[in-house]
Amino acid sequence: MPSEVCKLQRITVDDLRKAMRLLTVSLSEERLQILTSFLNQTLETLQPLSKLHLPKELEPTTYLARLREIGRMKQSEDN
Amino acid sequence: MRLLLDQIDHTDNKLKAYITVCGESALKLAEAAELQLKAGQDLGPLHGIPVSIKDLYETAGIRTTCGSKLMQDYVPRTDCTVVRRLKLNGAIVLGKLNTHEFALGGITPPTRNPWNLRHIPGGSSGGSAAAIAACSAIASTGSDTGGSIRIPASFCGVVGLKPTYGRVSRTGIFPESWSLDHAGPITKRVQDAALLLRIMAGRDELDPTSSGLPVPDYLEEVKLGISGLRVGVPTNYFYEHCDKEVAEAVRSAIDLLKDLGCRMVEFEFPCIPEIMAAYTTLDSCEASAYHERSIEQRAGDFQPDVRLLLEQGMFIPATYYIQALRIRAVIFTQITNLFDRFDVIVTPSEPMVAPEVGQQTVRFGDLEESLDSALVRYLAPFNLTGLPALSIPCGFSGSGLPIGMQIIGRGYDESTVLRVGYAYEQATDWHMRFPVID
Repeated sequence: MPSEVCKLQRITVDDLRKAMRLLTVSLSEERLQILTSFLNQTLETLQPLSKLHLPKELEPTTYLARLREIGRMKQSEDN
Repeated sequence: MRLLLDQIDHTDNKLKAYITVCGESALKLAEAAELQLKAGQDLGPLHGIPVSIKDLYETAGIRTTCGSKLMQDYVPRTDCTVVRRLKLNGAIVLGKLNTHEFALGGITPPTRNPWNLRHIPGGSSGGSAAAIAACSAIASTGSDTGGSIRIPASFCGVVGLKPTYGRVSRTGIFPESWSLDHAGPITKRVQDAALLLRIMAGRDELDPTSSGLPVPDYLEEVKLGISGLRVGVPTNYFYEHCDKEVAEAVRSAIDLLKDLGCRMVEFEFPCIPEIMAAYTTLDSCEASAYHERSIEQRAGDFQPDVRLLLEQGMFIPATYYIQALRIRAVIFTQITNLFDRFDVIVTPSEPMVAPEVGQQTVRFGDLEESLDSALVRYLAPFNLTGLPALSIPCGFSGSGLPIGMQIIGRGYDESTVLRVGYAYEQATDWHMRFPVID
């Protein structure tokens, strides 16, 4: 199975400054400083997403279809 | 109605549960409802019943602020679907309840916890739970994206139900995160939650995520008893980094369910790191997408904690968002498959009782954890999977603060979740206790 890695490194204020060019918002240097520290903490929580090995067929909204299917099954059981 | 308005007068200067009280209109509507009943006109099970609404729900002609300076003068022209349904069944809107700004947090400043005013009520539906606990509301609504119904229900010692994703329409409720948001009731008793859900639930053509499945008569189904039901008890995660008093209270509750005829099935809860990663990504990115323009134009009008969350979401890569959606499907399958072995899962709602106002972190032994993380970690898995989850009171700490127990069921099986909650409530007296607010 091919590796599907989108790894994020620890980020710096300069990284955010560059990334901001892609956004519609413009943040001050002071905001970027605050945000860098906060975002680095969050990225630790997000790390498992950089290590996933998922089947290529796995489509992003599958869970909603499954939830509806469970509902229909429940309805048949109740009937 | 007058008793409730008196209780609001008596308590709300300290609690700050309400943003808007519709005293005059509520009294007029109550008088009209009485006359209708005398004339033989019964609008339904909520005829003349006052309902208090989270200030994230649009209410026609009544200011809807989302707890934010950005929305302080917004008066909607129409009701959201839930309020429309409540009114069609006779309910009277008593007022609008405080929320953490745009539901983006679990604290709900400036609202206080009725059991101890130095503590938070939890959030984001903190006004709803605080008002129910303080008897300044008898029925209320909340919304839950990572626990925002169940956190305050647990901290304030009341009943909070997050239904299955799609069971209740979100039309006219301000979004936090479209794919994680749920609307549901917060009440004093399980039966009241069952009644409110029956009215709130059902297909809404304006909300394509709402389900067309028939809505059961939950009020009847709660009474079916729980003998023979299988209760899943996780052996990992939910008792790690959990206050001793909370763990003991929930274990006692599980013992009582056993005495009431349930069979316990121990199991290991899967995918924890991936769950929190996926939840954090989806919540953060979706909230930032919704508020993007406001952040561009009025960033300074947001509260500092909310502004930081919204700015953060803009820097999370789209590849992460898509991977979060994909792993969500895997997590969904793993967790729903567990229900082949049992009918409900029982866990603590929160790892601790309500923290003090201003507290930023919580300590569990050697671990110091941010409050934001501790608040959602037992609850967010069921936003990610969309499964129904109920928080009910199951004890009090030595300091006199309520402890909550979470009951989770299969998709669209709110009936079983409510049955277990009702049977437990009937066998205990936690719901008979009331705070003294002074």
